[in-house]
Amino acid sequence: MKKILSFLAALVLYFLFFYFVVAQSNINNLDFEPYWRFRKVILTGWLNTIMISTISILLSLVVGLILYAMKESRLKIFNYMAEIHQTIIFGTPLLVIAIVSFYYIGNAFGIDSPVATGCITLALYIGAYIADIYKGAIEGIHTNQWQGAKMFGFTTYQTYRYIIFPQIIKSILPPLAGQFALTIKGSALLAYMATNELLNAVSNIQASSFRITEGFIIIILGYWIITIPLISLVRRLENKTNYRT
Amino acid sequence: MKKLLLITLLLVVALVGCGSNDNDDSDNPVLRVGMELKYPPFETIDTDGNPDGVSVKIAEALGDYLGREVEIVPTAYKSLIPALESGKIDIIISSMTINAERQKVVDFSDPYTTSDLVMLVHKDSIVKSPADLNNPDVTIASKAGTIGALWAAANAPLAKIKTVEEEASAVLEVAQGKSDVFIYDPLAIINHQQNHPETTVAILEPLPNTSGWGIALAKGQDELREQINAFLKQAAEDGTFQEIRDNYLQDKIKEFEKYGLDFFF
Repeated sequence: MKKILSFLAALVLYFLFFYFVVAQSNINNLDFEPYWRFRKVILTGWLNTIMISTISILLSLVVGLILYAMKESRLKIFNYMAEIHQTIIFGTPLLVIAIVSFYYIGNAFGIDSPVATGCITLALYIGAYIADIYKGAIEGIHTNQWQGAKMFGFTTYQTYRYIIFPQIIKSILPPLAGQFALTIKGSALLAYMATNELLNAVSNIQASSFRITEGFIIIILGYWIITIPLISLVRRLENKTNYRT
Repeated sequence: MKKLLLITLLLVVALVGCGSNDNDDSDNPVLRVGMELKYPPFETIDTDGNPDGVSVKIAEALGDYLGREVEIVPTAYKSLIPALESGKIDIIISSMTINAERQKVVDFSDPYTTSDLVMLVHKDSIVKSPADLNNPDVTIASKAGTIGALWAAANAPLAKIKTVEEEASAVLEVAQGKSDVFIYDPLAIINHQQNHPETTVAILEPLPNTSGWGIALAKGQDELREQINAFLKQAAEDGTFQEIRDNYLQDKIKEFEKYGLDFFF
């Protein structure tokens, strides 16, 4: 009961904050009519955002795994390639990477679809961070366990599958959820390539209706509908896999 | 060491293999037209999300004239010229003003309109007419890649220029007094002023030294440019433009008349 009250109190505080902001700006009458007329466009954009994010997230989990494997590889060239990839990604703003990969790298390889370039770019970007999440979690496992598994005759696959994986799943979920949310938000960058996703769809309508504030409200709600359930889902999974407590 | 060489070699071969697909689209029959769909009634979307507007109709008429199929490629305004240079699109029809800076990198057809630029001004700004712009205390907001910044650089070199990504941001800049002026086309400015009546003023005196809109194409495509010029001439004479004007621009022409502005096209 106390929990719910605290939650409501926090909610009210935020509501007051936004109310203050709205009262300060001279937004007098909101008119969502143009957006209702273009509801089909907005819905398509929103579904595209979900599609792009889902593909990118799945790809980035794989990219992260590949990069992790490269870092752990005995072949030094793979170690360095993973290292260089991460250095480039960590050191460059995502917006710049997105534009360069669409107009220059994608172009060099003859990929014309902004959706394909966008998904691959996001996957390579987020994957670089996910590789480190994997690495950190796996390194957190005591060496005794590796030795123990070896002693019992586990193969490398079996060690990962039965000993390492069940233990790391709990510790990688929260940082992964952060990366997933980042991917969903990052998909908005595809608007710079005029991809028909949520941000671009709404800003097209903003331009034709001149109802700008309403557009931002729709964009924010559109992303929240995706990100908030994702975040709470991960929270619940976290509790479920928390065997120890 | 041998293994290392082998892997490097494999990767290099893979890369060269991918890279070798040629970008030469010269005999591609589809005419890819780049435009930013954020500028109604010229470039916009219908309620199904398909490209629509005057420029779309011009593109289709041009395609008919050339006997080529037309594909509209939605592109952010700032990226139009890079897209043209990298061969992602063949021409730009996006209400683009012919301008000396732009002509350094692309070629233009003959102008098919005349167009005016006007100002949205913050109510307390010192700017009262275009003559006040060339002043170090004046901040001019413009949308990235549009003519506003280019015009200001050429005609008001002393003013501070602030480039923002979205038209919406430029309007908020002025409405909140962070910038003095937003330079854009008359009808958009009128609409924005009506949305921010307490904080902004529209100054509808046209800025000097503006020229018409042209169709942009990559440097050196003289044959295509001749064809486009011939098409523009014919479309003006045979009623193609008149028809587009009747279908798309009636309301706009009326509004222009209401504010005593000249209409183009």
